[in-house]
This record gives sequence, C-alpha cells and structure tokens, in this order.
Amino acid sequence: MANIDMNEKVQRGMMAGEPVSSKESNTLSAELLSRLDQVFDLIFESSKQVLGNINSIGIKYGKSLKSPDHMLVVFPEDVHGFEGWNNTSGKSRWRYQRRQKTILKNGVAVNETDAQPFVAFVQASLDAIQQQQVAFSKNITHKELQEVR
Amino acid sequence: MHGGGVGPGGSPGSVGSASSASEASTVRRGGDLAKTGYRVDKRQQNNLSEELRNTLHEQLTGIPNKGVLKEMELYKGIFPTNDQELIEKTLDLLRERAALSKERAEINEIRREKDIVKADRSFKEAESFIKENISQIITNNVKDRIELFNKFKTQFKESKQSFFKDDEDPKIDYNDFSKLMNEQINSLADSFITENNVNRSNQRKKYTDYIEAAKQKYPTVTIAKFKQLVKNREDT
Repeated sequence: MANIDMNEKVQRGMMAGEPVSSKESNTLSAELLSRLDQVFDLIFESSKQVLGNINSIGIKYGKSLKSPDHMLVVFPEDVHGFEGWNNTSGKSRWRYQRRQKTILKNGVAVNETDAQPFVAFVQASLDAIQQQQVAFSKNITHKELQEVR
Repeated sequence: MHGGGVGPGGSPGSVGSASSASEASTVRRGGDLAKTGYRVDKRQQNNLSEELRNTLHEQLTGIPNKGVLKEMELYKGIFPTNDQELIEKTLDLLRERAALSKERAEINEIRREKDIVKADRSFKEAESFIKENISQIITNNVKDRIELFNKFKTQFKESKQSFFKDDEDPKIDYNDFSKLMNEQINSLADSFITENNVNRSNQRKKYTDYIEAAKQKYPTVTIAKFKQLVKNREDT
C-alpha cells in the first residue's frame, strides 16, 4: 500500500476552488475593525479621564434607565453588547474581541455582513450618548456579565 | 480606583462622594442590566456624558460639538457618506471650526496676559503684605518656613478677601514667599545694624544682642546672613 502524504492532501484541498471573500468568511475588514477600535478607545479613555482608573465602562439605555433595554460594556480589549434585553424574544448578546478580531453574536462568530447589526447597535449607543439618555456604570466585571440572563 | 458599590460577591457601598449606599447599584446573580457594575454618581454622570459627547463628536467628525450639528447624526461622521449636502455642510462647519479655533487662540492669549497681570499684582500685594505684617506673621509659635508660609497664605487671603475668590488661594508659591521673606529680613537686619552701629570689631557683642532679639521676633534669621550684611555694609 502506498504511503499517503496527508500534508499534501490538505494543501491541495485548500488551494482548490475560489477564494472565500471576507463577507462570506468570518474575517472582518480592517476598516471596520479600525473604526470600532477608534470608537471604543475614545469611550474608554474619555471615561478614564473623568472616572479615574476604571476597568470597564457600561453604557445603559432604552425606554427606562431603571430597566435598560440595551447595554454596551467597554473593556480595553473587549466589548460586550446586550441588545433588546427586555424583549421576550430576539435578545442579542454581542461580543467584540479586539485581539482575536472577531465579533460574536450569541456566542457565534459572524462575518462582515452579519456584523452590521452590531455596528448599528454601536451607532445607537453613540446616539443615546449624544442625546444624554444613558446611565453609566463603572467596573462591571466579566463575571457579572456571565451572570446576566 | 473603586468608588464603592458592589463587586462580585461584595456588599453594598457608595460610589463617589455624592452617592449613598441606597443609590449604589447591587449585583445579584442572574440580575438584569441595571444591576451590573457600580453606579456612576450624578455629578460624574453629567461630566462623563458631556466629555463623551464632546470627545466622540469632535474626534470622530473632526468638528467641535457645539450643538450646531443636530441634523448631522454622529454616526455619519464615523461611517462615510455620499450625501453631497452633508459634505457641503461639513465643509462649512470645518471652516467655521477654523474660525472658532482662531478666536479661541486669541481669547487664550488675552487670558494668559490677564493671568500674568494678575500674578504680578498678586506678587506685589503679597510683597507689601509681608512688609506691613512681618511681625504678625513671624512669631515664636512658628517652627519653620513651611508653617510660616501656610500661616502667611491664610492671613493674606483673609486680609485681601476682595482679591481672591472663595475657592482661590494666593498664587504666590513657596519660593517667591521665601525670597520676599529673605528680602524683608535682610532689610530688618540692615536697619538693626544701622541703628546699633554694629561693626566687625563689636560684632560679637552686638551679634549676641541681635540674635537674642531675632530669636524672639524673627526666628528664621540666620547668623551667616547677619555676618554677611555687616561685612557688606563695611565693604561699601
């Protein structure tokens, strides 16, 4: 029986067919990542200037600030989004991992197209800040976020 | 810097100076969004809101947040647009921004000049206050010059209330104060030398007298300074 070179087979398999575009793969464009990074850096650094040495800043907004519909939590390397949290269905849990350059929706990595609702969610958060219809919380921990249901 | 509140598994506390325990958020297992983290107190909330509005707007759009851009939604600055009208508006506003920057620079220059004038006036006021009140400032109770300086600032501010705002302290710093004090003590020592005809031949006796008097009245005068003053007078 002839020996099979597994490395060669894998290589051939990868080379075959059309390249996968960034819209189809889970690779996000540098332009999008750069814009998001710029926004989150500004939020975190500005918050630090006002609040001192914080670990995270939470931006809560929605119909009622006592029971916010949405929350964006910005850590230096990580961003969490909770969208439509008072809805009975259709809650979205976003996570943007800066080092890994990935955006997860409900735990699943999304591609450029599917990341657009996250972009819109960030824009809505900025609008809420602009309209001064937000409540801020500082030093929200990852453990607390895991416990949010 | 944790202002208080509740950490994971922690107990309620206050956030910042203006918060009370009842205002602080609490973390409960399985809690909703409102229950996460430490509530930012009202004053900080307002400051942060303002800071974020201005920073985000100016940094992302390149245009100061002056309330003139209500029709321009913030995100359009982040995510480019082909809207010609919007581009024109942006260009207009950039020109306005350049004009505003120029005006701001001019205002800052005027403010800086005013500050210099005020600092100069403050220094002169302090100088005359020290001259007039040195006996009251320097007493046996004062142990060192830092204490002297603090005492001076309090007395100076009290005597010149119209010159300072409530939350404003005299601009004079310790080095300037020390310099003024040295000048004044030199002047007093000089007067003493003149009045008592102190010279190097009778220095020991007069010096002892002087030091005794100085200890009572001017505890910060130094022997070396006194000797130098006598020498200077004789050399000239």
